[in-house]
Amino acid sequence: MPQAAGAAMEGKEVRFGEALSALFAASTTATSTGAVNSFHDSYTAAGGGVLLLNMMLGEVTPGGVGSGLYGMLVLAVVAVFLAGLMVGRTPELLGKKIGPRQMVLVALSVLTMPALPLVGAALTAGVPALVGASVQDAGPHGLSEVLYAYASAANNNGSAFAGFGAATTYQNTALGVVMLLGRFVPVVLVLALAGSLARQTAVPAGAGTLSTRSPVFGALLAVVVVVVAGLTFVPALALAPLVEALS
Amino acid sequence: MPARATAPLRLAGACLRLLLALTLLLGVAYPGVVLLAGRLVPERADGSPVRVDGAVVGSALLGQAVPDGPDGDAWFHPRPSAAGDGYDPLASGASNLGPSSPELLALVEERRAAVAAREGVDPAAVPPDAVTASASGLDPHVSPEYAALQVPRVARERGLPEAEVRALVEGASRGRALGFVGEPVVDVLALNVALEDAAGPAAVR
Repeated sequence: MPQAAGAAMEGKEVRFGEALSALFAASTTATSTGAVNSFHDSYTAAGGGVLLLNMMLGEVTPGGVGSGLYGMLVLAVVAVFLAGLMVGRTPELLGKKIGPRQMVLVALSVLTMPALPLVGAALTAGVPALVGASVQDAGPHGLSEVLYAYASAANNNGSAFAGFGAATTYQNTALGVVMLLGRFVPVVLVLALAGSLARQTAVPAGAGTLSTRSPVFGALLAVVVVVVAGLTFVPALALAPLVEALS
Repeated sequence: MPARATAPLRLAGACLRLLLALTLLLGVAYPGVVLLAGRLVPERADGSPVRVDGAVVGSALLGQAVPDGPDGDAWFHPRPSAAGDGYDPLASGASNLGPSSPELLALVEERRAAVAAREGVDPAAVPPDAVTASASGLDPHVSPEYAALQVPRVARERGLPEAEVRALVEGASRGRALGFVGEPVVDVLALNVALEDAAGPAAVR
C-alpha cells in the first residue's frame, strides 16, 4: 500500500510526516505511554512490528519509566544471575545475595509478560468466531492486530491497532483480565522479591563481585533484555509482521 | 476513656475537613484558575475560531470538507478524511486499514484517479498526502506539493493570475518547526479564506 500511495501517510498528519510520527510511535510503545499522534494499524508491516517488539521487550528499552523501572530491575537480577553462573560465584546485587528463592520470583515475573499476551492472542486467533468478530484484516496483519491488542493490554500501554474490534463482550473481558494480571502479578512478585532482599544483611563487595556500574554489565543487561524478553516473542513476530513485510 | 471514645470522631472530623479543603481546591480553585488562564488567550481557549465578516466559518486547527465536483473546484481541497462521512468533527479518527489491506489499496487508486482527473494531471504526479486519510480525519494541512498541484485549477476557476494564487499559497505555508521538526505544510482553511478575500466576496457565487 505505501508503494501505491507513494509514502506511508495513511493515518498520519502532514505536519508530523513519516519521521516524527514514527519517532513518536516508537517512544510511546517503548515507554508504557500509549498516547499516539498517528494510527499504528496503518503503519508498514515492519514499522508496526517494531512497535510490537518495543512493547514485547516489557517496555524497558529506554531504561524503564513508570512501572517499567521494576521491569528493568528484575532483568538486572537476571543479568547478575547469569554473570554469577559464568564465573561460578554466588550472584549478588548491591550487596544482596541472589539465591534460589529470589530467582524463582524473578523467573515467574519474567514469564508473566510473554505468557499473558501469547496465551490471550492464541485464544482469540484460534477461535474462528472471535476472529470474525474482532479482526479487521485478513492474513498476517490480522494476527498482528490480535498480538498488538494483547501486548498493549498486558503491558498497560494503551495504544492499539485500532482496526481490531475490541468492543465485544469477550474481548473487553479477556483484555481486562490480561490488563489486571499484567499489572498486578509482576507487582506482587517484585514486592516479594524486595521483601526477601530486605531481610538479608548486606555483604561487603569482594574481589569476585560483579560491578553493576561497568559498561560490561550494561552490555550484559542489554543482551539479557533482548534474549529473555525478545526471543520469547520471535516466533509470534515471525508469523505476523515479518511474514507481512516479506510478502 | 474519653480520649478513646472521641478518637473515631476526631478522625471523621479530620476526614471531613480534608474533603472540604480538597473540594475547594480541586473543585473550585483549580477549574477557576484554568478558566482564568483561558481568558488570557480567549481566541485559543474558544477553539481558535476563524471569522469571515464576523461570522465563524471554522477552526484554524481543524480541516473542513470541500464539495466534490464543480462546486468545489474554486477551492483548495484538503486530504481525504476517514472521520465519519469526511471531516466530521464529532467522529475524529483514521481508517485504521492495514498496509496490506485490499480495501485501502482500492481507495488509494480511486482517490488518485479522482485527483488526477480534477487537476488534469498525470496520476503519477499526485502526491501521497492527496490519496491517504490522516490520523485525525481533520488534518487542516496539505503538503506544499499537493497545494502546488491545485494552483492552476483554482486560478482558472477564479479567473485569477496563477502568480497571485501562488503568492496566497505562500502566505498560508509554514515551514518545519524550529527548522527541522516535522514537515512543511499549507493551511487549507487559511488559504481558502485568503482566496475569498483576494477575489472579493462577490467574485464567486
